[in-house]
Amino acid sequence: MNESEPLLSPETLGRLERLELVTRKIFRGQLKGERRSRRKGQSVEFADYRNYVSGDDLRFIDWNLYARLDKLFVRLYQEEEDLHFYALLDSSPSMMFGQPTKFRFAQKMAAALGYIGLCRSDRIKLEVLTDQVLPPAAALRGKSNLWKLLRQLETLPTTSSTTLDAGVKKFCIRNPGKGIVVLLSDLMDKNGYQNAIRALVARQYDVYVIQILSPEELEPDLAGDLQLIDCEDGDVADISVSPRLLERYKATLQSFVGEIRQFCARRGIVHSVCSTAQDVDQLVASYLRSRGLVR
Amino acid sequence: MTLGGPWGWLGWTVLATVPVLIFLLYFLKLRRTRLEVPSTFLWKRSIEDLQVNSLWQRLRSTLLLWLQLAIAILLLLSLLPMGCQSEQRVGQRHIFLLDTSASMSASEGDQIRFDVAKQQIDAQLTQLRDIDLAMLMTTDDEAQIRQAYTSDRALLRRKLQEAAVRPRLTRMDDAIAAASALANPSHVRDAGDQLTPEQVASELEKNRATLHLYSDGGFPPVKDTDLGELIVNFVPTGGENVRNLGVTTLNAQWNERRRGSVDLFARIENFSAVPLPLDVELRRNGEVIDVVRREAIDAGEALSLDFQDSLPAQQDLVTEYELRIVGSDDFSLDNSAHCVVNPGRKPQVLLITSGNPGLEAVLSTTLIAEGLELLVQPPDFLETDGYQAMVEQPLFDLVVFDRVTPKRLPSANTMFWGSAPSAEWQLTPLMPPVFVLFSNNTHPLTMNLNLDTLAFLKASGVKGPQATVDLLTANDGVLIAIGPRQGFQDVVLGFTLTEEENGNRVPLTDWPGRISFPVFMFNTLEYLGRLGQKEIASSVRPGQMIRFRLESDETQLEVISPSGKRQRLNKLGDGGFVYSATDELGLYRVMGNDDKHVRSFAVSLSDRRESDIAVKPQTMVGDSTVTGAAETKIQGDSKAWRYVLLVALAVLCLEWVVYNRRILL
Repeated sequence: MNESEPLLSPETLGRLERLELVTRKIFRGQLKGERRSRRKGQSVEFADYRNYVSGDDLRFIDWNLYARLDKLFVRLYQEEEDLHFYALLDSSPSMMFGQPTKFRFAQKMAAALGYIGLCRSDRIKLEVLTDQVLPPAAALRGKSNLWKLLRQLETLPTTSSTTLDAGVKKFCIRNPGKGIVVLLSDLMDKNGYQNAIRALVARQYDVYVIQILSPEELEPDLAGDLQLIDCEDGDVADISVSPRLLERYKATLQSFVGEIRQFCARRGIVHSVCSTAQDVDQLVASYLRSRGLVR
Repeated sequence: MTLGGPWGWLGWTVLATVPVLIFLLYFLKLRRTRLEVPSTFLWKRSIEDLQVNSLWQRLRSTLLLWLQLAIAILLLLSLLPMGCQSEQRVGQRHIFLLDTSASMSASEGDQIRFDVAKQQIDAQLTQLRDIDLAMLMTTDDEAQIRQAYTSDRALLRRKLQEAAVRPRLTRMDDAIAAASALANPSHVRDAGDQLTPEQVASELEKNRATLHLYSDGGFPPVKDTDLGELIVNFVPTGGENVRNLGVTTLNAQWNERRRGSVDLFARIENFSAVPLPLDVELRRNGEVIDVVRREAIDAGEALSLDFQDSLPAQQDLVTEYELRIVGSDDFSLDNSAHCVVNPGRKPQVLLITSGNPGLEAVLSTTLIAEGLELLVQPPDFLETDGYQAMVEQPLFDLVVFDRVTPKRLPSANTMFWGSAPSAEWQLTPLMPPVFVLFSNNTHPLTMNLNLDTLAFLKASGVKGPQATVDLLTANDGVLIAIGPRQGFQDVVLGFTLTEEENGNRVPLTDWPGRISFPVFMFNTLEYLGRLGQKEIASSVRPGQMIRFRLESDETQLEVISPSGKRQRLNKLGDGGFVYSATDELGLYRVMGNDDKHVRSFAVSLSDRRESDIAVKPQTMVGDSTVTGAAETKIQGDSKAWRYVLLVALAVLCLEWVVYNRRILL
């Protein structure tokens, strides 16, 4: 996988069309869609009965029941609404590392998930974490908007200098609605990831956190005495690489990931760790399915 | 435990700093490779606890440092000549005997033979084990222990470097006797020492030594030496194909026939294996006076040369002769030889007479009186202790006995007038008339004298012992004869000049009135008393002490050596001077008051054995013939691995500095 590859290949599109995004919450959509709504509406799926009150649409009276019980009952149907799906991409400098970059990986992941949403007539919005107050991104709906989706992804602003926390808060301000938020980030923010996730939870989004790490971060192949420069803040760390240090790094990484997972689990958030070396198609088709994001 | 060895304290100090330097270098600021990473967040957390107690944490993780330190310390330990001195570990004893005689200065390619020998010894010292003991001796005409037994190879090497070749002859017997005594302590132990057989065996084992003899073999066979437990390894130093022409002899003698002339005899030998051309110069006071050239002298052949030279008439002039071979060969010390003719001293003449106006008159003439020291004594003097002393010691050059005969002849040349020196001589009265038949015109005493017309009233015929030469023969016998006596010569005249008769002095010959009489007396004084003769001084061997006297009253002299070094000499109690610093070959000049050149003496090698520089493959030591080996092998540690380890140390340091490129220089 490299930077010049298309975000979605035809084979991938074929596989994704069979999937749909899953939310553990029922949100009120703005348009009628393929999602069951909490509200009773006019779909074909029976939901319940209730006593007829004056003013109810006579078309929904169950006459068979009136015949047996001699009472008027109105049939309630599940309302089907569209789903809001937000792909929130971290575009900090740290995401520009790896081959391919973590940001490219996030783009692909967003494209895949977005296409699934488009196929299910969900409202898809792509957002990047930024410190600027931008107008809300245009929502996309329907398969025909695939090219728009891809163009948006390709033209997303990169190398934002904002922190994860600030970026997420700005996102929340821009997007007051409900829906699924998939946060695509490496979460390597020295100010912490907690506030950002808390902010998403507070807005009652159905939050999925996909932590993207490069193989160099998962299995660092370093040797000698190095002066590590943090690409975001220029922070310096002098290390003398030794097996013991590498072992400790891996332990720290595991601890860090475990800490995030625990934090998310407490808040009903699905947390997944992906390596940029993994195939996005496989991830979406198998891993994220197992994690409950798609089915 | 001992330290030292071949490195010395300074070397050990430098080596000991290596591990410390390695250690310290690890704490220099490292040249780290800058690497941009997505985030240092996890790395910082990873090294947080490593930074706690960072020094030791760092050391713990720096395997390379410990590895380098371990190698460095192992290397140093391997270089240390440490050992536990215990009775159970007995090392071998080696005596290195180095020939420092003149022949060792022969050229061997670009080096001299002596330096080659020193390098060989140095290589052998490297082979010694730490528990081995070695001694360094040198020998030329005197043996010298440069360094007693020690295991300190650095000390041995220092002493070896201090050793220098000297223009001396070779004597090996003293050195080998000393080595034998060291290896066989029983030879020198007091008779009263009582040792058990076990103690004797242990002592022999402990002192058993190997003598490594580094020489060209140019020394007399060493006999009468019991080697005992001493093992001799002869290492011939030098080659057999040499080029050397040498002056082995230069002597000077007075020419008996020509007054004031000297004959110089020289011998030049070719010690090479091939014929060599000869070009010889004879110099007098620095000026070439004769040249001899030969197309070739065959290998092993000798050429005898003789020269004749008339000395300058000036009495107090020092004449220096030098015979020099022009050109170069492998051995330069024998290419010249010197001899000197110094101003002579006044002869001491004693006249024992009861009164002889004729003799006294001729001895008091200016020409004679100024040239000699005359003492006149009566015949009673023969009974005194003074005369007895003359018998024992050569106090006079010539003693003239006028009509007296001593009981014992003096240690001097003598002249007897009308008396016989001893029973070997017979004086037989001749019947008058006595007239001269002929005189000996070849003998210096009567050469060119007209004595044929002399008249004698009374005379005796002289008959001396064997080898007596007749000088003046009369009609009935010999009137004057000269005969030898134990290195001296006695001139016997069968007549006297006068005779006492009734209180009157009656002349018995008309000779005192002839011109031939003072000439005869002058010849006698010159020939027997060395009147007016200068002193021929042959050269002495280097290292030999010089004794000389001067007629003058100087109490302090200065000697200038061939290299220009000056040394002041003080007059000794017996009136003589002694000079012993004859270590250089050439002419030594003795300067008197006002820097006047009063005499010289020469030091020349002139020794066939030293000039024969071709190496001798075998020699006789003790009762056995020792054949030289090209190189002796000491059974010891091979120290080559130490140098390999040193290279390893260097590579280790180089790797650390260059390969890693970590140091901020």
